[in-house]
Amino acid sequence: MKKRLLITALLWVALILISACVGRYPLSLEDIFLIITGRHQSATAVSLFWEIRLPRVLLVAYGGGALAVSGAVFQTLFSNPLVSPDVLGVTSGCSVGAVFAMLFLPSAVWIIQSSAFIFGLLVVAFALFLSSFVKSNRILGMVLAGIIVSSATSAVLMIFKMVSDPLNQLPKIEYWLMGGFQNATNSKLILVVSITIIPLILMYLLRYRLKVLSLGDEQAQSLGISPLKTRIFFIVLATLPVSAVVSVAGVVSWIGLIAPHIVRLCISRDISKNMGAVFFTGGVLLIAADLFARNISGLELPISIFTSLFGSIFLTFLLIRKFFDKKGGNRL
Amino acid sequence: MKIQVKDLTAGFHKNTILENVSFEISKGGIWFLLGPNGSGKSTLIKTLGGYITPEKGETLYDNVPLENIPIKKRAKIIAYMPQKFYSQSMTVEDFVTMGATPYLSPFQQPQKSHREKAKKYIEEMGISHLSQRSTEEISGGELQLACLAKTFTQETDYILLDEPTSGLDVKRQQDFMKKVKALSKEKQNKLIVLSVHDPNLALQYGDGILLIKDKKVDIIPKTDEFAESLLKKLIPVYGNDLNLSEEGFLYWKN
Repeated sequence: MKKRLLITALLWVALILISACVGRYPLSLEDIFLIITGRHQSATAVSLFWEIRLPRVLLVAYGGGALAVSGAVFQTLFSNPLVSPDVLGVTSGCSVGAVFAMLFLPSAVWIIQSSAFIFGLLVVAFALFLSSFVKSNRILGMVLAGIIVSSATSAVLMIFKMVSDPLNQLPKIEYWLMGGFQNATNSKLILVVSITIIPLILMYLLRYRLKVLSLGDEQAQSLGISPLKTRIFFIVLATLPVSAVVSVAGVVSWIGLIAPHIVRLCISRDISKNMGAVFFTGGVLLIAADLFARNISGLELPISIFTSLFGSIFLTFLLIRKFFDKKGGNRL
Repeated sequence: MKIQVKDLTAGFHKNTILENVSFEISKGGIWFLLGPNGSGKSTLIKTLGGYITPEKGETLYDNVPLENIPIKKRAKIIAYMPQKFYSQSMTVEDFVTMGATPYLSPFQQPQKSHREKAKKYIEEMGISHLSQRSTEEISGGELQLACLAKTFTQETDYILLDEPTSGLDVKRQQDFMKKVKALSKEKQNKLIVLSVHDPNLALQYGDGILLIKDKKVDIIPKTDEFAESLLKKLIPVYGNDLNLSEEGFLYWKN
C-alpha cells in the first residue's frame, strides 16, 4: 500500500517535470534547474517559467488532485461509485454563475471567478435545503434534489446562451464550459490553494469518520457519529475545492469520477487508506489531459475534450474487463 | 444495569406500531424479543437505541433519559447490530475494528490496541481464518458473525441485536447463541436485547422474554415455569396448535 502510494506520488512529480518542460517554448531539465537556481541567461525563459509555465502546471497538478479527492468523498458519502462531485449541482451552479457574470456584470476575470464560485455554493446549498424535505431516505433526497437543481440550472444556462450575442459572447461561453488552464497565473494558483487547502486537509484528517459513515446512517450513529451532521459537513468540505477549481478553469469533467475508480481498482478500495493516492492520481490524469490540450495542435484545445475522452475510454475498459472477468464480480 | 421504557409510542408516518408501551428490565443477561412479523420488533430495538425518535414517551438507561446522553457517549454505553447492514468492501478485520470508533478522537485512526481488541473478538467468533478476506466475499452468516464481533469490540454494557441469527443455519444458530451467552458474562454482566423468531432459542438461552402483541410489550421473566408461561402467552398470538414437549420445547401439532 505504502509502496503504491509512493509510486503515484513519484508519477505525479515526474509528470509535473515533464509538463514544465514541454510546450510551445520547450525547456530542458537543465534549463529548469538553472532557472530555479537563478543562473539562467535568458530573461524570456525565466519569466515564461515563473509567470506562465509553472503556475499552470502546478494549478493543473493540484486542481486535478483536489477534484479527485472531492469525487472520492462524494462517492463514499452517497455509497455509489458512479457519483461525481456534480451530483448536487456544483458544476452547473458555477457555470450559471460564470455565464451570468460574462453577460451582465462588468467584464473582469475576478468577477467571473467569484460569481462562478458563489453560484456553485449557492446551488449546492439550495439542493441540500430541498433534500431536507425527504426525511426517510436522506441520500435519495439528495440525489433527487441534485437532479432538480441541475435541470433548473441547465434551463437557465440555455436561456443565457439564447440571449447572448452569438458573435462575441457565445464562443466565450462555450469555451468556458469546456474548461481550460490557459489563463493560469500565480495569483489564481494562490487563490485556489488558499481556498481548498483547509478543506482538503480536513477531509484527509477526518477520513476514518467517512469510512464509518459508509456503513449506513444507523451504524454510524450507533458508533457515535451523527450521520446527518457529518454528511453535510463533508459535502461542504468536498464542494469547496470543486467550486474553486471550476471557477478558475471552467468545467473540468470526469476527473472526480475516474481517478477514485483507478485507485480502487489498482490500490485500495478503502477510503481511509487511499485518499493520498486518489489525490496524486487525479493530478496525474489532469496533467496528462492538459499536456494533450496544449500540445496536440497549434491551437489551445479545451481540457474537457481530453478528460471526457479518457473517461469514456476508461469506462469502456471497465465494462469489457467485467465481461471477461471469469470470477464474475459484480462491483464496479 | 437497568432499561426503563415509559409510555412509549412509536411508528412511521402516522402508522402507530407501539402504543403506550412501558416496561423495565433491571437485570443483566440475554433478553429475547419475540413477536410475529411486522409486530414492531425492529421498531422497538431502534427506539431503544435512539435511532428512531419516538412520538411520545422515553427510554432511560440507569435512570438517565436517552435523549440526555450525547451521541458519542451513547456509543460507549449501547451497541447495536441492525438486521440489514451495508459493508463497503473492506477486510473483516477492518470492519470489526470499526467497533472501536467511539473511543477514537475525531482525527484519529484505529491504533494497535484497537486492532488487538478486534482480533480477540474475531477469534472468539471463530472467524480468524476470514480476517483478511473482504466483507463482500464472505457469506451472509459469516458477515453476521463479523458484525457481532464488531458489536462486542464496542465494549458497551448494553447491546441491541436485531434478528442476528436470521442468516444462520440451525447448528450455527446454536453456536452463535452460545458465543453471545459466553461473551455476555465476560468481565461484568451485559444486558443484551435480541430479537428472534424461534421461541425455543429464547427458552434455551434467555434470561427473560419480551413479547410484542397488539402494540404492547409483555415481560416474561425466567422462572421455573418459564416454558409454560411463554406457551400461555404465545397461544393467543400463534394459535392453539402450539404445544410444549416433555423436554420443554415448543412445537407445532397438526
